[in-house]
Amino acid sequence: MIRAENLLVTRGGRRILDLPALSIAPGGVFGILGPNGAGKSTLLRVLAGEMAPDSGRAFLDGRPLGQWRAGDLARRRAVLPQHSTLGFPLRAEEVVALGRLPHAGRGGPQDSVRAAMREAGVAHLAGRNHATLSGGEQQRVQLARVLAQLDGVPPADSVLFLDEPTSALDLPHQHAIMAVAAARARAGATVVAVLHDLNLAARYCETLLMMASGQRVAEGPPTELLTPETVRRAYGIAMRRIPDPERGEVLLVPA
Amino acid sequence: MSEAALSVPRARAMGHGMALLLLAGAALCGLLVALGIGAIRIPPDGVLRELLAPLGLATSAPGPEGAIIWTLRVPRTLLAMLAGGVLGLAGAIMQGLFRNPLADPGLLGVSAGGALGAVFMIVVGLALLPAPLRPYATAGAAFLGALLVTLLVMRVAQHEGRVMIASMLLAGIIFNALAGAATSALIFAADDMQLRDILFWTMGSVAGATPAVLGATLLAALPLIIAAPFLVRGLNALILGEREAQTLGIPIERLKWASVLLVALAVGAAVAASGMIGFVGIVAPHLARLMRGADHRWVLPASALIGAALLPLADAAARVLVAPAELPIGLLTALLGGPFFLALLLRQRFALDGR
Repeated sequence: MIRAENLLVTRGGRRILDLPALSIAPGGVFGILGPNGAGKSTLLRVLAGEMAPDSGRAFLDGRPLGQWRAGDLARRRAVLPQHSTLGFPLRAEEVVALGRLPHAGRGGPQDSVRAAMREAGVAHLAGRNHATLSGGEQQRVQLARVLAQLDGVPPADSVLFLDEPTSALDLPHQHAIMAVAAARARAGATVVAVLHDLNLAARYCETLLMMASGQRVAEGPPTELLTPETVRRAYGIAMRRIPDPERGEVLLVPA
Repeated sequence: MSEAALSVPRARAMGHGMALLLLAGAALCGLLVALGIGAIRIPPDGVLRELLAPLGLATSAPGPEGAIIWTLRVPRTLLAMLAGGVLGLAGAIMQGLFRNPLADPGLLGVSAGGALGAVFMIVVGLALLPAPLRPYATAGAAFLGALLVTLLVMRVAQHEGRVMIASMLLAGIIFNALAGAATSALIFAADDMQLRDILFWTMGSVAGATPAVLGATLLAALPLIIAAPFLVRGLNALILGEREAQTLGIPIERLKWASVLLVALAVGAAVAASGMIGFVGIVAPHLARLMRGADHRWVLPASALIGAALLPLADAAARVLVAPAELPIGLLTALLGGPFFLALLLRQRFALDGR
């Protein structure tokens, strides 16, 4: 369970994050939407314990993130950034194995690496040099790395943060990554994702938070939140909402 | 080309431990060879006999071999081993920290600071010091110069409690230039005798090794050697990136400070004892990565062993190449290391261009 109150982050005199209250329940994907500079990634970093807010507090399981020891936190929550460039060439399986670092010397599942690679659909890439993989393959190997980090953690205790995980990826890779994250969420994990594609968010998220200028514009399930009015308020562009004839969901297209 | 240049060596059936034992064996063989090379050539079995004689495990040959090995060659060869090991290990740590295969402790200003300290002592300080302090004054000043410039670099690179790697690089470049300018000014003011001392110090040599120098260098290197295993996890996580390492629970600021301070201490002492010996810190980690990949569990100890194996051999070569004169060892490593470095750069460029 993630909770936050009175979060405030100021940079250069501007409030880049100003959120009075927030709570995120496990068991679903929580999507954060909004235009560039809306404070989405800042919020994610604060919730993941990567940075401390200037004021206010964020909690994981009722305990302020500032009071978590780095190692304990790393055995509970993993973060998948938008893009990772390796400092030195490693094989894909070596990259995934680095996800086990927080558990080093603590036992745990022996084949975490292989299981995570299978779950992320990259088992066939194990021996390949990470640098020679395509952008989408690299991102899925990184996904396997964060899955390996959470392997052996009870699903209800594990928290997965995805920071624009699918930007710059092609359609199959976008859906592959979101499908794996959604499956983890269904198994009981807390999943928080910063996303740019409204329809991708509608497809995989239980709850959406729409942000603009560091503040909450709206929050709710996709069908309620994704209205032309909310999108106009956040992004300042006109959209049309059309029903998806086959799945009963909604689609937003530029007006 | 790109595929070959970027290929990652597969871990073979042999574990890292076994490979390290083999490397250590190679380093010992190099040591035996290095001890035998010089104006008087002694075969490896002769070297071994003289080394074991004081332990009562062998009888010394009647000739001067024992004295040559024990008084002339052992101290400098041990210093070369120690300096080579420290430079290799420190290079591997710096490359891991900067996430760049071309980084070395020189980036932090360790060498430039050491040179400034040494030159300052030769030109200004020696005349002011009482005679008994003079033999070790240059080394001491080099050590302090190395530490001082490194601390300045870190201070400037620190912003809001965090050390920025990019700022560290820029601050390093700036302080390298400043220290170089100050050194040049001192050299300009130096007399002929001082110039000669400066020149030889700059080109590096392990000929000045005495038990006291060895002991002091080892003392300064020990913290780095002892701490190295504890840096491995953090450096491995850093391969992924700074943010990724942090979310894996690595105390990243502590890792930066610990690495830099320990490296400055050890390399400062190595530079103080043996002058400027370039390229070992870049070449040794590269050879290590070429052999078995970039995992720091392997790269750190392997770089230390490779440096410890290479530098005694380089010193032996420096002793005989222009006999009866002696080449400065730093000159030799630069002559060998320069082309190696260039080949590496070209290869990396080809790989990046995708050709």
